[in-house]
Amino acid sequence: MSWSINTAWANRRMRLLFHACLGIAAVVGVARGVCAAQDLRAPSAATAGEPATISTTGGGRATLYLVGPGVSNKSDVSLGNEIPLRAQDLRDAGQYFAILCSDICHSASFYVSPAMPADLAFLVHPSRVPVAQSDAVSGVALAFDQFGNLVLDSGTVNFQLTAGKASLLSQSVRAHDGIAWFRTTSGKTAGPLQVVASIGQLSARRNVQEVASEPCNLRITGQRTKDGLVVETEPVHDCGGNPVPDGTIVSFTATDASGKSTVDAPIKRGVARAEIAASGPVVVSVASGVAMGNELRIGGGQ
Amino acid sequence: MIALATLHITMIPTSLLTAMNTVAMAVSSARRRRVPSIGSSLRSHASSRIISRMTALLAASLFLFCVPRSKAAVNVDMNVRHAGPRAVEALTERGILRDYRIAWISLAHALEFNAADALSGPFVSTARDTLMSNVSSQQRFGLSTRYLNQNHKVEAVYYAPEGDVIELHDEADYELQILDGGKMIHDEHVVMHYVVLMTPAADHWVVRQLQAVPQF
Repeated sequence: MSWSINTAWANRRMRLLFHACLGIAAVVGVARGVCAAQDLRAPSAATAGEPATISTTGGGRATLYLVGPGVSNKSDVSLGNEIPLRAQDLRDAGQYFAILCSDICHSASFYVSPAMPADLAFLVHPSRVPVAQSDAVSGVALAFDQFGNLVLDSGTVNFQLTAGKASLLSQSVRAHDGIAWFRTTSGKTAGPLQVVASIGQLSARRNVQEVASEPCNLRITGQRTKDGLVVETEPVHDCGGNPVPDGTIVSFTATDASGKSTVDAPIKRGVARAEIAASGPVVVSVASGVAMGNELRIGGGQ
Repeated sequence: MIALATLHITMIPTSLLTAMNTVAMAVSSARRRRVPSIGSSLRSHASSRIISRMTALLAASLFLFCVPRSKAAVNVDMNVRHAGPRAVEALTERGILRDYRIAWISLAHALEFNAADALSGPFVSTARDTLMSNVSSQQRFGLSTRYLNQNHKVEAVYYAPEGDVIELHDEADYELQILDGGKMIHDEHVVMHYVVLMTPAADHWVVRQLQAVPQF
């Protein structure tokens, strides 16, 4: 084998190798061209209900898919242009996928954040509450934008509780993950309690009815009649001086020589009244709920 | 073995069950078209029943081989230790976990088969409206979405004093496939962060808000 033969063989091989490399480079170049033609860039920041754009490179036609919360769209687009995304397609906060397909598909994702708070959901419990109960009134406020998205960084929520003209609570609470809440003791006087939550100009108002608590210091008076006894309470109040609502049951218990008898009577116009059949000396006691009253001793001759 | 098979069959999508029923009905109607004698009718009836059962079994087996069980699975781990101000009781935790898992199964079913009915039970309010809108626009453009191999790490971050609302943070990972007709246009393993609001309904918990966020 001579050097010249080897050189000619090597030249042929080198030429083939060179052409193969050229071919590979061309294929890579074309592939890169195709990829570049379908490149897309999603918006870096988008807000619910506001239009946005997707920028593309290259030329020709392609299909754009927009898939996100509440939307699954498909449209033909021209590459190389800014593709507008309509405000109505970006109403829901969350993650969106933009997929651009011609020969192959490329995708990009982006987040749409909620708009400004436009609605305040305010849950207050309970609707009726006895006065002077600790941690008895609570409220939860959640801010939503006009499209129903939960506004996670809604800022500070102000809670105001007023009973009549008296302010019961005024508290500013920083919302965490879109939620602000309070819990407090109910007021001292029966009547409507106004509970207001507000963020900026936005507010929500709820009413809680504060009612008297358990009766306190029950006192009874009585007198003998032809058939027995008539006993009645003084006006029934709770410990805060609030009149206990009509309908609340008061129990009278009479003990005489024949034994014990009990009569339940509802409060009417602030007092409870009962007639008890008894003869001879009798002891009458009174109770309502957990509260006991005074004992009344009436002799047989009275 | 039977229990395992039953478990697998319960996971067959409704569309496949419908297709299996159609095959069985076709076999049945083919049998009815013939007018055989009483003896041959009994033999034919028995053989048709065997054929239809075999067809159903074959279809179910094909489905099980084609779609591994793990693909359709929805795994949910829940942590309620940091929820407050109200503590989440064990029974409540189980109920929420069960209903949240059902919600994702329903969501995946609804968006894969464009079956809006699946959304009515587990979702209400904004969450339901949003997903219904997805289904209707998917139907319009012939699209569908698959949520496969779902894993949800859920943490309860807020539970209202009266127990009327709970907020969850869900770090979910799943394989997201978007299809145009039969052609897959997107297949990606994604990790998503969802802020979820659930409220109690008559006898179960419902998803009121399901909102993806970049991070917690």
